[in-house]
Amino acid sequence: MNPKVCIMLSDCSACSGMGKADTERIVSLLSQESAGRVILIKSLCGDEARKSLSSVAVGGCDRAVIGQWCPADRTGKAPNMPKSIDPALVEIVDLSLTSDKAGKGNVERTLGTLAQAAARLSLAEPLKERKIAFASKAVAVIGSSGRAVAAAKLLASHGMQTKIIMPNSHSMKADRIEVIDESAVQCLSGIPGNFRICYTRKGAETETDAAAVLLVGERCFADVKPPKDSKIMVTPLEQFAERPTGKVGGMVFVDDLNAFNSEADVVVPAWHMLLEAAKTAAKNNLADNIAVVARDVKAAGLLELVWKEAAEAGVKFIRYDDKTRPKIEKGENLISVKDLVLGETLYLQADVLVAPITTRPWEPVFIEKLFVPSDWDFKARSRGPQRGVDQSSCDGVFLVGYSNFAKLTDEVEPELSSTIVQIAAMMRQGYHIAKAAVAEITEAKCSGCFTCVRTCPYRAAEMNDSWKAEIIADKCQGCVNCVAVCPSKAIELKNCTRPQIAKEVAASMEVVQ
Amino acid sequence: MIIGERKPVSEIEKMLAGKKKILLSGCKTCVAISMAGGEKEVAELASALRLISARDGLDWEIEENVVERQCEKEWVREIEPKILGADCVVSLACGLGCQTIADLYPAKQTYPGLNTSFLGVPEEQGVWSEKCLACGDCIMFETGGICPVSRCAKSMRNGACGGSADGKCEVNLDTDCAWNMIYERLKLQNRLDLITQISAPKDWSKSHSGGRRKIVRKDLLIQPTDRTDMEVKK
Amino acid sequence: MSKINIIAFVCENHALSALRAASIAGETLPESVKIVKMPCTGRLETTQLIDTITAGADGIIVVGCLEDNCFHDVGSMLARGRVNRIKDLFKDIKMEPERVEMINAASVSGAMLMLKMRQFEDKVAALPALPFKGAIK
Repeated sequence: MNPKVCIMLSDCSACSGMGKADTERIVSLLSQESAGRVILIKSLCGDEARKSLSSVAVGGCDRAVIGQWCPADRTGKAPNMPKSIDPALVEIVDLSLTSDKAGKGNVERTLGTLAQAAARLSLAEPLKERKIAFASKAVAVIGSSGRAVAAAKLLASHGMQTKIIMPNSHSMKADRIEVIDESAVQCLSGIPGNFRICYTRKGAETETDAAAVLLVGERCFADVKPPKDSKIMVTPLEQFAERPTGKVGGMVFVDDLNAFNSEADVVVPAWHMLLEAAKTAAKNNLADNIAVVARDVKAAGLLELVWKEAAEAGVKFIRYDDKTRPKIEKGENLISVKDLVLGETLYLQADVLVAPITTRPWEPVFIEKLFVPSDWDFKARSRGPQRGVDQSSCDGVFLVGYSNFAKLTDEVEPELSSTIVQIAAMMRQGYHIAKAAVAEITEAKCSGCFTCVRTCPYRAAEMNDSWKAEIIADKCQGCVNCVAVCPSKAIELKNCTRPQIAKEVAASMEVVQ
Repeated sequence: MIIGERKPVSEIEKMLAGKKKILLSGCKTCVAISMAGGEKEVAELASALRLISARDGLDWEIEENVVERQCEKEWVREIEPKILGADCVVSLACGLGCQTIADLYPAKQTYPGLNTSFLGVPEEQGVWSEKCLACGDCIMFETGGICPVSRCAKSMRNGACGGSADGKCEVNLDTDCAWNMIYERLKLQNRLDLITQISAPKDWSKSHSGGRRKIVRKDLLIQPTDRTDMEVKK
Repeated sequence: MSKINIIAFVCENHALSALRAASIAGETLPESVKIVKMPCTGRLETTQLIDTITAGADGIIVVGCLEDNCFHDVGSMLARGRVNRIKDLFKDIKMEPERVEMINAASVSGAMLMLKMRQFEDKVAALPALPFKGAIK
């Protein structure tokens, strides 16, 4: 079957800078080389022209290249094509980049660009995006604090069915809110609109469905306990302002209670909150000695000002690293930490120890299953493919508060409102568009080497029960990286195959000899 | 798996002087997974050689092929017509695959396109490191599953040498001291008693130092034996 | 009519947006550059880069997203690794490594992209001609 490409060239001289003679010469030269049809059409920036396109005679061609002189964006929606043309096989070529804007005709370049597009299209397959309707009508909110409850209430007030999954117990009765309390999330899987959340509740494993998930960055898993048998009073950072004041000898702010446990991983959850609280404590003279002990002392951007104010108010900043953790001295109100710069051990008076109980967004269930950002430094690679501020790399999973990245406390409220708007828009749409072109693995060729599983930014490649890789079509974004890395050439993605690329490259060079 | 690296193309180019029909033979097993001699690498080498041929007017006819496992005679015999039809073969398999072709077709010139490097594991995508020297006498049950023969620069047998500092090897500061790792591992497993135990020197005759090794499993032989139970050599 | 062929492999994300930005700003693509689009520059294999030269290209530009901001996370980084591998290969076989270059473009960098393409075109035009036009398909 020899697919016939219809090449439609816009005759608009205003944007092309070409006179009628040149345009007609292009049509005539192209007709000689092309198996399909070559016609002149009116520029598609006008409504009339777009409508009239559906009645153009294309002589049995099933695919079309439209050469436009203005950038494709300016022409608005895709035009209605004649019946025999498959809408999935239409390509609008932007000739504006190759037109000589000084008004001189550029017949050869236009010829080349159109011929190249036709060559590419001749090998193309009609691929259509798939609409997958949402199975559930609910939004799941995962979080343990007042903020999570507030988020759920806000969602419900906008008419959305909400489920809130939290580790603590909560007796809340509200319209459209299902409270799943005393539960720990174990696994999150599925595709946007069709998420499945597995959790354990009172020892039993259960699941629930949701169309969208909102992670509210309070601690989802309250597993870090303050040290026992110590004269030191531990205050949660989040409730620092409510602590009964009274001047103490020493107050130490630490970034993570896990710092005292040399076996545990330390993360930097709420650095800015730590800074603010320390600054407030110093300014309000809550202690003779105030120190901040943290693994990563970051003071970039806005935080620099806060850091400066805190330092000027007398707060001491001490860094520890993963190998030398601070220790709570037994029986004393003292915390010892090795000063990495001087190499000496410092003893800090700590009548009150202030530590965050917030956010561990990097719980394995979120990182591994949904690629939720796990580094507050916002590094793209650990964060996954490019997203908006309140989105994880998985469509349909939204983040608010500290589970996203550190920000000043009073920024969280408006962020929640804007995130709700996004969730509402997603729920209103009611369907997820799965990519047209997805990677496909030929099982027989797969050598089970895991290369594609490691490479895929969307975690769409997985090993199946026969120890062969397979692509989860609904997760695949068609980025085509797996095709290139597979050592066994077992993966292919339609419309980006090796023969297609080679043919297009060859066609791009034909004209220049 | 066996880890190898393709030789520089300029080195392979020199081997092909005066040849016309060249067969490139890769392997789908270890070298494919270690991205050195599989189908894609064969294609890459073919493209590079075709570029040289076209540029320098050498008129090479390059044929690309990959076998399932080049160290097995049966797989190599499958491509016999291609081997016999070529002026020479460039094997992109490990040294084993290259020799399988060379031994089966001794009149044909078979060249190694790969440098076979070591027995190694993929640490992460794109990084392979040596972890076994095939010493023939594994003592990892005493070292918490860490091989000091391959992972210690001096293959020390009873603890770190004096050059170990901050957990790093004095030979290469990027390398972890194997014995430090063994200590930490045995500590984790509550088996530090193994560290204080002195182990006898290794029997190196079982390694390659004792000569080229061969294993014969009489229970697996298909070839006949004579009445005295001596195997009949072919 | 230009005497050299430059193939620019352009990703459909930030690089294509950069091209559009250039077009809207009234820029024109350098005469010898032909654009071949793909979903991500990570699609390009080293073999394809070599074959593009033997198919008649005098120079190749790979235009991808900024490396720490690749739309598909890993693509432009992998592409750069492969471009560097080809440069090393070319050095080894006495072909000019400057014939293959990687450009990372932000979606608004239309002008920068056009400038770099023009500079590349000049550089390649100054290199000795390659004998491959039409030699191998």
